[in-house]
Order: sequence, then C-alpha cells, then structure tokens
Amino acid sequence: MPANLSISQQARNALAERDLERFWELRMEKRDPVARIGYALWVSSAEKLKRTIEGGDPVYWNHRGYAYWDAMARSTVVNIAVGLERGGFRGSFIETRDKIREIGLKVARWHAIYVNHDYQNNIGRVPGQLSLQQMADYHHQVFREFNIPADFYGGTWLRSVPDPVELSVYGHLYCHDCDTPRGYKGIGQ
Amino acid sequence: MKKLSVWQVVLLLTMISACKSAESQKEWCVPEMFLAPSNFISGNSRDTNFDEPEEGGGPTLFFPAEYLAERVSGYEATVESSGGSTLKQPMHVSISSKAYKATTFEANQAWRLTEGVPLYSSSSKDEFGWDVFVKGTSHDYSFWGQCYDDFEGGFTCMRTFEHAGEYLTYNVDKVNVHSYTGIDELLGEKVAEWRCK
Repeated sequence: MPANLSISQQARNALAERDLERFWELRMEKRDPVARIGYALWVSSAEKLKRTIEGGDPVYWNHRGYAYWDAMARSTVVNIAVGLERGGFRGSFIETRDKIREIGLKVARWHAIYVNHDYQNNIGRVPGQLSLQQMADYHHQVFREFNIPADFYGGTWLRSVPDPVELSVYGHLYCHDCDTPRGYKGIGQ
Repeated sequence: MKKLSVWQVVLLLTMISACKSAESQKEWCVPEMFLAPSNFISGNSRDTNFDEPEEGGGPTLFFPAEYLAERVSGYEATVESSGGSTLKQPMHVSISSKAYKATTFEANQAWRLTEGVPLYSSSSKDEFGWDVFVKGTSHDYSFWGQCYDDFEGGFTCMRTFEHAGEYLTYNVDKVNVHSYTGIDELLGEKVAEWRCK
C-alpha cells in the first residue's frame, strides 16, 4: 500500500520555518519522488546525502547513486544562477545565493500546494503523488515569477542548441523523462 | 459470414484507437504561446516513482502576467515579495472533466479571507490548505477554491470554477484575488474560443 502522501503538519511547520532541508526530508520519508532532488539541493552535508541514498531503496532513487543526484543538484544550482542572469538579475555571489534560496522556498511551497490539491482531489493513480507534468507546471510558474526563461527548467542555458537536442543532452536536470514536443496530444492539428 | 483473422482484428482495433486519438487531438486549437511547456512532456516511462497524468480534461494553459494585466481590470502583473523581489504574476490553468471536492462550509466558524471580496473559509487556520467559499447575494455560500498561507502575511489561491461542463483551476496571489470575476470571464472566453471549430 502506498504511503499517505498528504502534506503533514510537520511539513507545514518546516515551510513556515523556511527549513528546506527538513521539508524535503519529510517528503522523502513519504517517498515523494520530487523530494530526491529537493533534498539533494538543500541537505546540509554531502555525507548526509550519501548515507541517505546508500541506505535507501534503490527503486525510489531510480537505481542512481550519490554521484548522479549530487551532480543533478549542482547542475540545478548553476542552471538557476544562469537563468536568473538571463532574466536580468545582477547580484553578488551572496545575493545570488539568497535569491536561489528564495526560489527554493517558493518551489517547496508550490510543491506542497500541488500535492495537497492532488491528494484532496484524487488526481492520477496515487493521491498526492505528482506527475512530471504537474511538477513542470509549478516549476515554470516559479521560474517565470523570477523572470527566469521557461526553458531553463528541464532544459539548458545553451539556447543556440536546437530544443530536441537540448532535451536529450541536458533534459536530465530534474525531468529525466521529459519528452520532445512530439509527445503533446492536446492541441488540434 | 467470413471470420476475421487475429491480425485483421488487431488492425481494426488499431484503426479504431487511431480515430479516437485523432478525435481528441481535434478538441483544442490553442495558440502555442498559451500552452504550458508541460503539455510537451509525455509519460513517466523511465521513473515509475512519478504518477501518471490525469486522463481527460484539456491542455494546461499559460497566460503571461502582462497579458492578464492588460485585459483584466485591477490585475497586477507583479507583486513584491518579502525577500525584496518583484515577482511576475503569470497564470497556469488546468482543465479537468471532474469536479473538485470541498469540505462542508460551517457558517458559524467562518472567517473572512480578505477585505473587498466576499470570500470566507471555515477551515482551521492551522491547516495547510483552506477551502474557500464565496458568499452569494442571498447569503448562500458556494465553493470558490483553496487558499494557502504563505507564512509571510499573504496567501496564494487555487481558484476552481465550472465552465461549460469542465472545471478550470488557476493560481492567483492575494493581491489579485479581488479580480477573480474578470479572470473567470477572460478564461471562459478563451477556452470557448480555443475549442476547435
């Protein structure tokens, strides 16, 4: 039986206290798939992340080890920093770091809102478990709030590279199953 | 009567399914700039930890903040965050074929969400999400959406409303909540316009 993926009171408190590590740790305990990258981004030490992955369920970690998730987290930080710059943000190292944290808090809050909405309305197969599409929606929402170009999510800063190639090369950022526009079924053509 | 071979049956079923798929692709004619990038993601084939997308409904729409500010009276394209950032207010809109659930409204525990709009909740403020109801002219309450504390003195809402048998849900910040009737009207018009003729 899948875990109850609703947002717990502790997770709500972690958001109120702006404690991103704790928030994602609590989500990880519920096997929320987004928590893998969330925790890798905000965990306080590399050793802690290593221990968590090595001691965890390989299925949950998608059969990827510490090196993979650590690289994902690093590339995410770089991507957001470059995206901020492309969106017109100019700041020192510390200002950029603070801005990335503000984005991280927004993402966590939106994640919780989407999870709550999904849980209460039984969306998809498992209540409270998001699809890649739902995850992409709130990331794009936050990125656009901060004027980060939308293609910086699950994409790359190499804008001169054609999109399908970008996705195959850099699409692993969070969204290692992002497809090309060929997969879209909604638009009438 | 001639019997069909297994391959003929498979071919027939494939053709029927192709027709159905072509039918659903004809439902929406949304200009590409109003389609959220998530519409271009399909499945979760290589990571089974994610859920499958909801079946039915329509594409996720995207409206730039400036577009909304130009068309909806009082809509503010940006808000100031407590961290000192100027945050744009674009909007993602999901279209679902199923109604969303809400708790029962308890008028004796009601509290007003904000001044200027007749929105009330009877949820405990300690809960993560508050079911919000709009007060009608005859003092009746109907479900409006859900709002969430941002822990910085503000809140964000997910407004849900019915339009032509479908349920549209969009995000809206506290600053723009008072514009919800104008937003509903604009979205209703666009959804009707973007149905393929």
